[in-house]
Amino acid sequence: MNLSGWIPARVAWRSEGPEVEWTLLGRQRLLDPFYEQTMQQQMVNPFHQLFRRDTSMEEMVAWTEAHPGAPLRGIIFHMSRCGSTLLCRQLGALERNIVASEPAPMDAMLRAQLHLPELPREVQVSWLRAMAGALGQPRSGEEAFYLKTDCWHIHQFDLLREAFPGVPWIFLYRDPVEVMVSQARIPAAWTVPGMLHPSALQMERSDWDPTQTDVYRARAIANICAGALRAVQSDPRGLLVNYTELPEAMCGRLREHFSLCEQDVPAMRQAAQRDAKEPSMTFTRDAQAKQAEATPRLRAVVAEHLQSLYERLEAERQAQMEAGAAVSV
Amino acid sequence: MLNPSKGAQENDLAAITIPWTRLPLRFDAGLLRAEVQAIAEAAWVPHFNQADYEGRWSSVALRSKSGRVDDITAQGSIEEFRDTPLAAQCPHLQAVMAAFAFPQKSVRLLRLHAGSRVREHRDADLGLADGELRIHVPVVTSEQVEFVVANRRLMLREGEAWYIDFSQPHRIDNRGASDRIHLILDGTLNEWAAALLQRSVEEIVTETFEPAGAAGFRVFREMVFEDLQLQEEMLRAAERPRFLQAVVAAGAERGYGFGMAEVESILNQRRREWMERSVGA
Repeated sequence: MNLSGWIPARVAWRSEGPEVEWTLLGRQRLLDPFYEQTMQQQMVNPFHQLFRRDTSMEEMVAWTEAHPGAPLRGIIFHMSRCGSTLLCRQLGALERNIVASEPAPMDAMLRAQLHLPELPREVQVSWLRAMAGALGQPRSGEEAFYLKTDCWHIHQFDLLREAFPGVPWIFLYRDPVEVMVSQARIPAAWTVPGMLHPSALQMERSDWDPTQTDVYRARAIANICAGALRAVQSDPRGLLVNYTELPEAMCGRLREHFSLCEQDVPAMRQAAQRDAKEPSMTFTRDAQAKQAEATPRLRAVVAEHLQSLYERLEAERQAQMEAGAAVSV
Repeated sequence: MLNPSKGAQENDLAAITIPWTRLPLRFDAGLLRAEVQAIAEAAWVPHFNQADYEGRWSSVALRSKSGRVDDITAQGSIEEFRDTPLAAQCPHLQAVMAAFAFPQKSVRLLRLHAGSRVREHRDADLGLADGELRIHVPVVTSEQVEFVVANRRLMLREGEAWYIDFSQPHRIDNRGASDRIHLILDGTLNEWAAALLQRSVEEIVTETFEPAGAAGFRVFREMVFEDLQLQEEMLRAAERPRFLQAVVAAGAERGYGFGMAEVESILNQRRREWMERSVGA
């Protein structure tokens, strides 16, 4: 079997076991803000509907063992709506980088227990590595792979750590008022109770009042921030990054962390000139607009569920910056 | 949790979903065939749904809204339907009707002429969820009739009775030399029918088969995966009709033995699977 040029489009959980559906991407790079958008565009051509290719997990593992793909050089965790897309755009501006942004097939691997409660951890770890290998196959001469996870994957931190030991990671976050305003404007699907399995957010069925979606959202994001605090305390390879540091952080504090060099800076600066999710628009700081839009109710919800976690993240980040020298390993 | 009214429906008849099942009822196909063959040719009317078929498809009604033999529309509310004069002429077909103790709407003979086919489509309004059911009793058929539901071939044989959920994609291809005639009973789901369906599912193993051409297409697909040049060619035919033609031509050229109907249903199925994929569940 030759899977060269093919990439996992999705994982289907069949009664006989999970199946990876691959699509022929050829030499295309992953340049859309989200992995799913690239897949959607693929599927417009009926070729990619009729000729998706199915393999078992074992076949994916075997293929990626023989074809390891570009090494994983960074994992980006985030609290959502906090500039992670911009950061990925900067990484993707360098032609030697592959950036997979919230790829659903990786989410399927990370939450495989939903379908296979008895899945042994070492098998899951091998699936994670294989999926990273499959997503990170060089398609036009790339040399490094970066993974931006879904925001709830901070809860799978230990698993990712075990699968990818030593890989530098960051947790990106933002003033929770601004995040909550963004989520209130256009709520992400996962913030709607029932759209994402609550276990992914470490929420319980009894955890929410269906009439208060903003509280559900705030608690889910609070869990993510708490997860990040635990992660950063357990593993010094991680950096906390505030939205306010973007886009310059990539050219400064994060440059070495993510194995980038001085010559990469101009391209990354240029990429930051454009709005990450709307490439036709220029990137603008919208913190003021978002702060102005926050209702008293939203501020109260943030104060109750998020503010203290944000302050703890800020304190940890300050400590990291003060110990700055220790980070450039 | 999200839909508190849902729990109340749990014991409802409408909660049953069954893709298909043969039913534990059997009729004398010889007697039915004799009655059907006695029906005057002039009585048969062409089927109204002309967009969905190629060739000839015709029908007569034993029970209809107007009580007329040539009224072959199936829609309407239950109290509107009554037997047609044809029913009285066909006591054995009437006995089949009587064997189904659920309120009946339209009852028709549907004839798919030799060499004709019904293209793949779905009938969304015929589901158990809406309290509706449709029963097929094959009267005249052959091994050359391909009846495909959700990409599985069902072998409906003369004198048998079948329930099929036609909200699933289905197509029929009469490749034989003789016309295919089924008695089709539409009605509303009641306790009796629900119990019959339940019993069928528990007691009868309904065999399904791979449609003709599907195996050939599978081998063709594997070949395509290894043939970069062919991939390029088919990728370039980016719009659906051109693409389908390119696939069918490439298969025919190499002798893989599948046609447009198979490719179309497989493409539809793959497309549906993609659209319905769950990301966060």
